[in-house]
Amino acid sequence: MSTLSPIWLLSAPFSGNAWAAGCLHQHPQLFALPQLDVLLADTVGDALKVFELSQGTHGHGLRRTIAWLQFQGNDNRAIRQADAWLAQHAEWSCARLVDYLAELVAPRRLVIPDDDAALRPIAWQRLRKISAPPMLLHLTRHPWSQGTLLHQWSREHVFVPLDYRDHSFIPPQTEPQLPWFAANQNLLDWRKLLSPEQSLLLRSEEIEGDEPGVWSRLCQWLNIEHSSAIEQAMCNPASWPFAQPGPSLAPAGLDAEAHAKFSRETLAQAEQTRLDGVLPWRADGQTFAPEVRALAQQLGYAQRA
Amino acid sequence: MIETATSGRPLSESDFDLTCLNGFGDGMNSYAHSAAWFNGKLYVGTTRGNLAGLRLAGRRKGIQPWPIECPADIYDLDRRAQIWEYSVESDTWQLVFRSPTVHGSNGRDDVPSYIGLRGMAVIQAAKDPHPCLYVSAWSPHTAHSPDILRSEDGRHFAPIARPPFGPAVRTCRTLKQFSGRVHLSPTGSGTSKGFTQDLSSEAIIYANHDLTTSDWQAANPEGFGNLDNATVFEMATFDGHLYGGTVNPNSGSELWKTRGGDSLPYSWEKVYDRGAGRGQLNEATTALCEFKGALYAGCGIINGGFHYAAGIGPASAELLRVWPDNSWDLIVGEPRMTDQGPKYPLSGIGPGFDSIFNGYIWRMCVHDDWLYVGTFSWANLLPYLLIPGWPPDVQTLIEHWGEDALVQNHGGAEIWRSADGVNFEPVTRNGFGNHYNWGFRNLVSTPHGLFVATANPFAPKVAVKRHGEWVYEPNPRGGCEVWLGQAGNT
Repeated sequence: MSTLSPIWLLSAPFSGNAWAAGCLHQHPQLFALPQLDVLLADTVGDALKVFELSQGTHGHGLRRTIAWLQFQGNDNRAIRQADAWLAQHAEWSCARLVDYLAELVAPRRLVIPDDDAALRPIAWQRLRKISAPPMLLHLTRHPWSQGTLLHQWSREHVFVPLDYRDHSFIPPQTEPQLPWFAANQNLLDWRKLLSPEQSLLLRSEEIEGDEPGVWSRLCQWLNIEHSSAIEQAMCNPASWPFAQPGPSLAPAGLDAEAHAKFSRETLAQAEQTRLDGVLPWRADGQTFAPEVRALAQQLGYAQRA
Repeated sequence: MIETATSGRPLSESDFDLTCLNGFGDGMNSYAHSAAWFNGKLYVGTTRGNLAGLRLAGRRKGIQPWPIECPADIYDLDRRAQIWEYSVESDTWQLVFRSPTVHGSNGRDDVPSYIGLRGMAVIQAAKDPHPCLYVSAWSPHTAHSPDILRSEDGRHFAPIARPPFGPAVRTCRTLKQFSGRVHLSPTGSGTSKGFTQDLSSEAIIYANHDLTTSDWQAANPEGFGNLDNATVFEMATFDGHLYGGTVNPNSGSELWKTRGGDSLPYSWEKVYDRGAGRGQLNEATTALCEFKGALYAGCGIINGGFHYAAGIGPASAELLRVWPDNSWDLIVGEPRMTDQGPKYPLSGIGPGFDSIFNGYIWRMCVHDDWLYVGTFSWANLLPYLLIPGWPPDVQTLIEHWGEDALVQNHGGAEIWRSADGVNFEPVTRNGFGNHYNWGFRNLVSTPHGLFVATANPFAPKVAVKRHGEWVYEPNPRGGCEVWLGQAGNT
């Protein structure tokens, strides 16, 4: 296996994906990028078309990445240079682009976060073409926390992806269980196709809570250096070059959660994790679907007494 | 995840060749509405003048100008439906049947018996000496009730005894042999006040063991006991059962199944209701096809994805997968919570294969171990639609993409293929490069390849804009087309 093959950090939306990427970047042998969205297309040109048509902020992360790595900038001038560079390389396959980025950060190893790809099997097929064999870091969050944050975010945004909504209602209502279940179930299915060494399950609660052993487990999996100094650094993602919003031409590039501002009340509610309570985002007194509860338990989230 | 190692070679767009265009040389042949492989030849039944018929029936709201030039009088059109026969060996088409005319209830002597031939099946019923070709017809309300035509040789067609249709029944669609009987269901109705080709006046499946008799009996209670089920629109056999999918404008389509049996009506079991949890947006189960141990069900809204009269839509189609134990998966569509738990599109693809224009999944077919799915798309109507009345998200999309670009690039219907029933890839997304092909109405797997027959009503003259003015011009790519896909045919 090439030491430069990227690590794909995949999760359901609102699972702490960007935070985890920022933490991983603090390891001297890893280099985390923003969300590239390159699994949306086969070629750079096709990806640019998707970005142009998108109602969201797709492409900001890729543009910021090129601006930073190719032009050593994080301002609008560098973004314009990145746009021109991407247009010039429209015929490149996304696989070639990822290889190029891997070369730019070598000898550090790429970490590519993505909180959307797990919803789409075509992304998995592309990922397998880009990285053979792929390395997959499956990041999860308790569905209660994930749902609380996603629902609160959706109340403040006009554009909410179709995948986040329950279409048994007219008009459709935001239902965080759906993307949580879809993404985590897909990731489990995909991981079954990999050898045990190619994937690792990580709970964002372990990272955010600085649980003992989480970083040593990760470093052992990747066969990279581990020390207390590294571990300490990995607990603080603030110095990640992409941790702050980008310039006005590409302000986003991380998952939506990273750009959201939640009230103390929302954050407190998100921490009251349970699998058996009435869901705070439902007006009808519903609890988690049995299938969601079962999957959460499979992922290590115990029923709270 | 299903493995795909056993599948044969898939067909791509470049594998397909035209065998006929322009409605067999007559653009009035709008729909290749039925097709079957019989005695080593392909048979295609047409429906004629679909858009003209709509216009002259007064259904014009929201469309301007009318996409094709229409005469003032419907009897200026030759609407006699036709059956064409294709020989692969000689690559020739031959007209083998043209509808007779009858003395109509309007006093005219030139009323076509059949303006469309909407279903076709090869069946050996009791007393048939060998498999015969059966064709279900569409008759105007000024003629007689619709017939089922039978042919032993593909050249001579004659009607068999009809089921006891109510007077408003105008057409049937699918013919299915199951449990020793032939089954059919009326799927269209009409009177002097108007017609609808997708809603019947009765939601009944008729069954008959011996087609030389008129012993047709109801195989199900009306609407399976739910009078909101307006029509049994599609049927299929799977896992030793007959399945029937309904049109239900009130709460969404239902799918029922039966093991059959000696006595009629059968006992039926409900598989899903309320449009599999999507409600009215899955108003109809439009296509059914067995593939690798499951039954695939295409759903959508009648009238091409916008049931204007009922205020349903526009919305695009879903694809479901039903298992023998009545559990089902969402393959293409919108995620939702259901009685069977959370459902999300396993393919990762949204409704209509991520296109608002794919109003329904019209036909599916298994060929060389691959599932092919054909859609109906209304995108080619865009230049003629009065858009301001449409939902804001549709308007936004159209403005963003640009009307001309949409029509040119996505104006035609789509075919998608899958080896495992989960992962899909497009064969064509623009009607094989002809945006007037707004539907893939028939997919027929044969030893010679996969035949694909289209619905294309944009003929004989189509409205085009010249120097800012609408004019009607002859359309050499209007009228139904039949394509043949053969592996390695590049």
